[in-house]
Amino acid sequence: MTGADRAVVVTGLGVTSAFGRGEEALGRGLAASRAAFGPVGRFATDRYRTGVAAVLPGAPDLDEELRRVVDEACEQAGLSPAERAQAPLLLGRHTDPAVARRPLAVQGKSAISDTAAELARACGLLGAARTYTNACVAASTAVSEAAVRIRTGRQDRVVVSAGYLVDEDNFALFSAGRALSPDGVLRSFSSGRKGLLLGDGVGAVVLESARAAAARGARPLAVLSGWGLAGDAHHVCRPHPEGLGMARAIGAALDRAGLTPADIGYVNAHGTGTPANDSSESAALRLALGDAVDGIPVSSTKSLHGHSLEASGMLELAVTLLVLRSGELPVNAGHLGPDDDCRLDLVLGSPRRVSPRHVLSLNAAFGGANTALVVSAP
Amino acid sequence: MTPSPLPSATLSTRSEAAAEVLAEGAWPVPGDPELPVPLAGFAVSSFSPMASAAADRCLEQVHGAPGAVEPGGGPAGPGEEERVRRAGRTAIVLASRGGDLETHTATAVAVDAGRPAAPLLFFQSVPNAVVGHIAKRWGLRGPVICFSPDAAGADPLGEALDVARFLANGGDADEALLLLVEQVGPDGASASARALLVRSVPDASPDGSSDASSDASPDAGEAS
Repeated sequence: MTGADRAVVVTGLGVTSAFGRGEEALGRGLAASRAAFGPVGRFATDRYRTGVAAVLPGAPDLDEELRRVVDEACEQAGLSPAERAQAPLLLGRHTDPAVARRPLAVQGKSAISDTAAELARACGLLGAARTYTNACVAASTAVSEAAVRIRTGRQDRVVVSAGYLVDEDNFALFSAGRALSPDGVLRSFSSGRKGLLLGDGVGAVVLESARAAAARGARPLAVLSGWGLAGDAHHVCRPHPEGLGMARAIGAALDRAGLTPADIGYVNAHGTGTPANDSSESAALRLALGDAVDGIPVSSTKSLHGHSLEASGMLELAVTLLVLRSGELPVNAGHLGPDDDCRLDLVLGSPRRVSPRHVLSLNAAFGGANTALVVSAP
Repeated sequence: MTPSPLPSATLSTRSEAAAEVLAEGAWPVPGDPELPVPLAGFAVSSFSPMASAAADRCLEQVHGAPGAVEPGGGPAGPGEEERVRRAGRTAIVLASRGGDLETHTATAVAVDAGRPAAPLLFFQSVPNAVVGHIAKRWGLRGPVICFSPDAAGADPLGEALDVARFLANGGDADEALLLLVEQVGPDGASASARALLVRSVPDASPDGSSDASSDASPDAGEAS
């Protein structure tokens, strides 16, 4: 098998965000450049720092939404029942808030991964390999593992899914940690940014070897050409101020893709809108990309669809796939003005027509976790 | 401790051992008190103190005394340069079926009672926090991974080894500190944490080469 045969391609996507269900809803939301934030109606928010998040109407069920996106992705990829049955599932998700309300001894009988096993069964997949729980890099870590499995010939095809729906437990925790933006706006990389806002995000992708996809006559949506993971070894929850871990993750992803910084046409940043994250990420981009960073458009679409925690990397991978197809870079919304610590070429005002060939998607999490994915046009 | 071979991991498609164990530690061991030593910044739950105690007992066998080494800070003595290099290529992989049950429960209790959650619970609500603590304490700059192993396979160690193998095959780490932490076992077993430092051997890829490249993760200081 040649290196080209072992290239990792994306052949199917399913996604749900506060903009609605399906990739068309997400595409319309991005194109409109209007943030999806609004009052949360799922629970009372009067005792929290804000009452705003990016949420679907009503009280959707995460397991149901996960089934929907996995089926969407498998259908778009054109997988037969037999092909589904050969594909393992890697999942990223948080613990179920309902479980935390049971007695401790009862909680011990269940695992966060139980829902993945059920999801794999319901969608006719090979089985659940494992469930990543490493916060905001859970989905991107799962995607990286799937890519390695395919690149090393261990599997021809892997389904990766992740989901987070805004819940009161996390809302209370982020409020207590003073992480939520009190003015109800997520202002990534902007002066006067005050914090993040949570958002619903559920998604799934089918990843395959180029050879397996070609053998089925499947048309790749994109190539996952690089990935990198690195830690800061700096703090329990603050990112390294110089972005050292993220810079190493970006460097590893570019190396694996065989690309130089100048090859990157767009960065979909983690950009949570917290003061520490955005300055650290800006430093990492400058360190890893050098002077080329001044000519690379950057936006954090969290400013539009919110922060979906464990599912961030999946929702933002969906955004990069839409960017590669539409040639339109989504805006970095909520921007009040430049910040000296975030000197980046931000996409402001309205989407920018660029048609990038290679896109960098970044995620970071507590504990100094950093991931970088390079997604390329097919 | 003499490195020992391990059986290959769950879902492995190969029969030969994929990793060697360089050191092991656990909490509790005979003679330990009922609760681990409290960990500054971590309240309410035994999860993170247990994980940290097991990690210390494991890593001190290989790396000596703890102490974060700032990259670029310069080696402090003979052998330190190699230790820093190794630590920089060491991942932390935490496997826990249920995660930090006591923190999740404390959050749920506060929310249901209409009380504000304690600010300290914010970062403790994800297992990354204690991994970040261990990473800083020992200067481990590899990937930060936490996962819930597949209950059907019931082999957390096998899965953690499998994750270490994925990181070695991808070129993101040479060694991994595996942490297996549970507050309540599925059979009601009492709280425990186990730590193993392992070195994974990258698989040969189908075309005969490893996908890993030894310089795939350049130091940030060298990034251009």
